[in-house]
Amino acid sequence: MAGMDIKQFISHNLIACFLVTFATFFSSILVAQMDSAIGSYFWFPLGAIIFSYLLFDTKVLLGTWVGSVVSGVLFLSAWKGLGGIQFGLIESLLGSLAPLIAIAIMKGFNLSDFFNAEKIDFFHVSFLVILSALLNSLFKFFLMFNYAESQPDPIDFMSTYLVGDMIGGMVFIYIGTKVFPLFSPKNKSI
Amino acid sequence: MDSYKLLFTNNLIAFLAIFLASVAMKYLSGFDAEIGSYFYLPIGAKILVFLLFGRQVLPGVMASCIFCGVVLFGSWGGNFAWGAVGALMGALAPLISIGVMQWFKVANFSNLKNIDFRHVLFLIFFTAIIHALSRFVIYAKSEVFNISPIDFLSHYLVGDMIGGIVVIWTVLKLLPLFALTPKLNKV
Repeated sequence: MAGMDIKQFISHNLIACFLVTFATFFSSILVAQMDSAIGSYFWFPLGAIIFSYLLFDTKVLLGTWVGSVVSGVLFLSAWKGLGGIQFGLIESLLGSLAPLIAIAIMKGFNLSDFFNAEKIDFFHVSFLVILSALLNSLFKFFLMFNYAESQPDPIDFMSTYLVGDMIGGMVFIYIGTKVFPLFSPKNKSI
Repeated sequence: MDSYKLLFTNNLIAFLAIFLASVAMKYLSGFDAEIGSYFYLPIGAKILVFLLFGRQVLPGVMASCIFCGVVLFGSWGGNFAWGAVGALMGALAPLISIGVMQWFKVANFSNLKNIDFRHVLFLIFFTAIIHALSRFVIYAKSEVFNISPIDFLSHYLVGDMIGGIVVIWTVLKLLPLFALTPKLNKV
């Protein structure tokens, strides 16, 4: 039984890792050229991280963090010019923690548990995306302007990170909740 | 005629509530538009009057924000136009937060009796984020204010949260204790 749990833990984390990496690949290569210092108006990874937490709960924090680090190394030049891999490790961790904190806040303040009769509540999840985007942008803003080697324009940084996280998050969650069930009709969690 | 009278009275109460909160903030911790304050009480007063009277008190809130800026804070250090724009955004921030929360159906503030205090607490946090970010964008874009991004955002965020909680908690939890105390002539 314990073996099964570990197997499930690893497989869920691997799925979360793949989702985040795929979302970053899609954002940085196919949709828009990504610059870590400014951000992008279509930033799907936040949606992938939220989607992973909704699917597998908080245990996939490690998978989302590893996914963010791997995709940063592969697609974002390993945060060159900002502080390198050390900076990237912290930035990725903040990016993975922001949705988790947003979920905890919404549950803690009795706002939502995101599911209504086993169906996902899209209104509440949309609000979760907005709150996660706000927290993610604020965390990265404080990190960037305290520790980054080169600092971008604060207005450009904040606006692109915020709008990019919101649009990308909403699009990813929408596609995930509408397309994913088509391939897994027995999955009732979405 | 009665509805106009009520509207005027509510707006006057909103105006006075924000003015009193601003005076209290000025003498308790001081305020500088470029830095903010760790004890930003007016945000709590704004949230409270919008919860009590709804969006009909927006004119009173806006008027009070500009009046306080001019009278108490020296027209935001002489930058009246951009200071006023920031103040108006400060008046709109709680309304936007309430609107967003109600539109996404995460909370309902229409019935005061059934309000969950945790929802009000979250509203304070959410308003603080919206308020701090909007003021930051306006003041940074204006280029007349000399602001440090980290100091500005941290002061406004923390100040709004502390100020909001202090005002709302004082009014909702402490005032009823005094209001419910039996009067001597009734005993």
